[in-house]
Amino acid sequence: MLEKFFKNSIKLTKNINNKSDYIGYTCSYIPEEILISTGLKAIRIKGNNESNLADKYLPTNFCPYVKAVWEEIHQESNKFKAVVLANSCDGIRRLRDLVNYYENNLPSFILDIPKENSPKSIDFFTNRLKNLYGFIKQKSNNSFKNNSSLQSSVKKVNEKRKLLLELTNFYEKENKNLLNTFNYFNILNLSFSSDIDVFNYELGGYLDYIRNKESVPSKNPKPPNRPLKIMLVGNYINDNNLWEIFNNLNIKLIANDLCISYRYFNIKIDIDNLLDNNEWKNQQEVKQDKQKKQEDKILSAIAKSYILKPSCFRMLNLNEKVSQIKDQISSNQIDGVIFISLKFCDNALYFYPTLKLELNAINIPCLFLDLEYGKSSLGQLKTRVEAFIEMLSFNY
Amino acid sequence: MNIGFIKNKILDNIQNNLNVKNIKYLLYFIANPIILSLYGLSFKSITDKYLNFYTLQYMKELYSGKYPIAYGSLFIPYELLNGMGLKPLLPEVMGGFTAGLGISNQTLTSAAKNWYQADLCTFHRSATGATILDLFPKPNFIFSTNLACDAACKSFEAMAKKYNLKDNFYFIDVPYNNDKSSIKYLASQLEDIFYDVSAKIKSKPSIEDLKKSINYSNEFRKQALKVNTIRKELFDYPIYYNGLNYILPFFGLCGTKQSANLYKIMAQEFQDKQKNQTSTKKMKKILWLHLKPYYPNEIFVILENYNCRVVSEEFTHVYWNEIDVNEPFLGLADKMLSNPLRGDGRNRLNTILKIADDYKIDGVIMFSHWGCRQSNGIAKILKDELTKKSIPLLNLDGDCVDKNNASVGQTKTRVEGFAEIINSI
Repeated sequence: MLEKFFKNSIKLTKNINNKSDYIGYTCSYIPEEILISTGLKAIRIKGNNESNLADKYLPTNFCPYVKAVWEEIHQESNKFKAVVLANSCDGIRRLRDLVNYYENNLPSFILDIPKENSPKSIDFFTNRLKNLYGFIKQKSNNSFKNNSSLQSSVKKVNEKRKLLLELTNFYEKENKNLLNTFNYFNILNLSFSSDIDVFNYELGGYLDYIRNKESVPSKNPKPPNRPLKIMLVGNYINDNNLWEIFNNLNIKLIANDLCISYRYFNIKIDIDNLLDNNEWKNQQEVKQDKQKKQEDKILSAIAKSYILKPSCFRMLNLNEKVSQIKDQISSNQIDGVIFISLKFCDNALYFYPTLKLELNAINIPCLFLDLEYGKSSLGQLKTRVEAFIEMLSFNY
Repeated sequence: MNIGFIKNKILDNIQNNLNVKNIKYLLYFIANPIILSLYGLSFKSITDKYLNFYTLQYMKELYSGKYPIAYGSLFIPYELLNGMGLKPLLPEVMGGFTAGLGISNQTLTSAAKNWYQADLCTFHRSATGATILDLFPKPNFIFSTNLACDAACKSFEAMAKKYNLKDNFYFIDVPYNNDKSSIKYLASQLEDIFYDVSAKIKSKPSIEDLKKSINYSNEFRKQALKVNTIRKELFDYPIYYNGLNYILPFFGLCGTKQSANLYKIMAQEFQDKQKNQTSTKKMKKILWLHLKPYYPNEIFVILENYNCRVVSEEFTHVYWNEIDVNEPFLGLADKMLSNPLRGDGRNRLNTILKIADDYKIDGVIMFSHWGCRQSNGIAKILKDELTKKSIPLLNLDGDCVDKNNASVGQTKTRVEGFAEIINSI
């Protein structure tokens, strides 16, 4: 089904071989709008989780996502024109070291991301985004397209996020099984692994299709059983085996707090009010100055939106994060939480005890799962998830 | 009755009566001046004596209830805290103490019962377990930084939540890069902290006190540099000396008279030792990376038996410039940004290469402490780069705090094998 609607997006994810076009990146705190602002394409590096070569470079008890990304970069460095990493955690800092040391022909940039959301942090982040923008412009000397601009890229990414929110809203509410869990997460995966123009176009078409289909009255009007509502809380969880497990259970994954879900697309950068043309009445001011000032304003707006977006466990707002999760649980009538962490993620592992304590206090059952990236013991995982769901069903 | 017997009795007492009241009582008893002066007679090294004295006095003050307590992670600028009259407690150092006192089983179990996973660093896990058991004096403030690891940020934030210190939790965000905007950003955070905390402890912000603290820090730095210079050629160390036993004075007491004094004593004792050292005495020089196990272990005895001597430790390296006393916040920001564990791994690599060169190091031991991903993640690069310089590196897996997570036999075999290689070069 997905192949039919996302034919070109899928094709593009499989054919990333034009070095001159692609910037690889790793984190939802890296503004995609800056990466694509000069006409380059931005691809979130999913990593090669099939091989164990990274064990030669990193310790056994190290983030499996970082290992997978390193594996992909190391084996296919020609794929990218440059990589942009985020100073999001110890693992990524060490990944940057590996890139610098063993792949020194591959340009890389590491984006400093403050951990607090104070005005001072936002100013600092704006400054760092200017550096990133400079890096991207420098890397696209030959491929800079005249019709590209920061302004248009913000609009494009805003459009993608809007579509993804609509998709999510549809997935969470619909009850005719028009969009299953496996497909939903695969579309999310495509959203950051393909060309944005192609993807936005295809997702728009797909949304039209499923909305039409939903509006057709069902032949069997009997309302289906309300599925259990489960909220996933975790880090970079992007594993088809896992989605397959959930797909076969009568549950809905709601308000998921993952790197690939709301944390990725629940951002809106409002630039319409920023660009005040009246400021530029003075004809003496050169066009470049005008453009520079506009870009600074946009970068500042991006910085603010990203720092204030639904936060990763790395950020310092434990109380706020916990209360946001609790609000979601309450407003969505969540039956249980599954906390999924990729193994050895300190930020997630330190967050879990606080969350667990708070969930216990409001009687929300919580299952802790830690995953090897794509290599987890599927049978065991399935048994644990099924047992949890069964336990919830008894209470339901 | 010898001193060893008394020490064991005290340890038994702590292990079997693990609560804050008992710790307070023991400290009150041990750290009184008469007992301390009697205890002082048992020391063969004056540096060791003062390390123990200052540590015990510091601990007694911490538990006395007379001072505002500030928890801090290892790499925050303690000159700032000491200059504001706060009594710093370093949970990570206390984590090391739990190993030395043989109570880490209890603190780690407490953490595990509260869903702290075994994959996490045991320094932080043990310290967290200790706070859950309420073994430390209650903090008035908590300070943390992203220098050098994620675990410090998150475990200290969790402690702040436990003690309901939302407004008294200060996080110092150290940028990845060291440039003009970084130093400005960092200095302004330190300045804000200084005025904010001063207001909260209801004392008039005293730049003069801060400058006094920085003067002590600069004096300590001068003496530490002297010590490190002597260590380049010193093999006859005072008994029980291990540079990694000095983490508390090197970091937490930075900016106090005690740390400046201790390093002055150390420099003098090392100088005397060097004078009396036979000129023919040569040992293989080892550089130690990261920390060491703080429970009883044989690693350093084995090294000595194989004619190897740790002459430098990454954590006792003086990496920062003298702090400009007239620009305290910029100076402290500069110190933090100079830390080799900040940002790019090349900072650490270049520092290690420089130490190896300066000290004419024969071999490097990197203690890969369980769960310390910021450190262990660079082992391969360090090894490859040191190999280019023909300096072997032993990547020794282990755990600084949890002895149950370390294989004694395997460690012994690996250290012996490494020492043999060093000696054959």
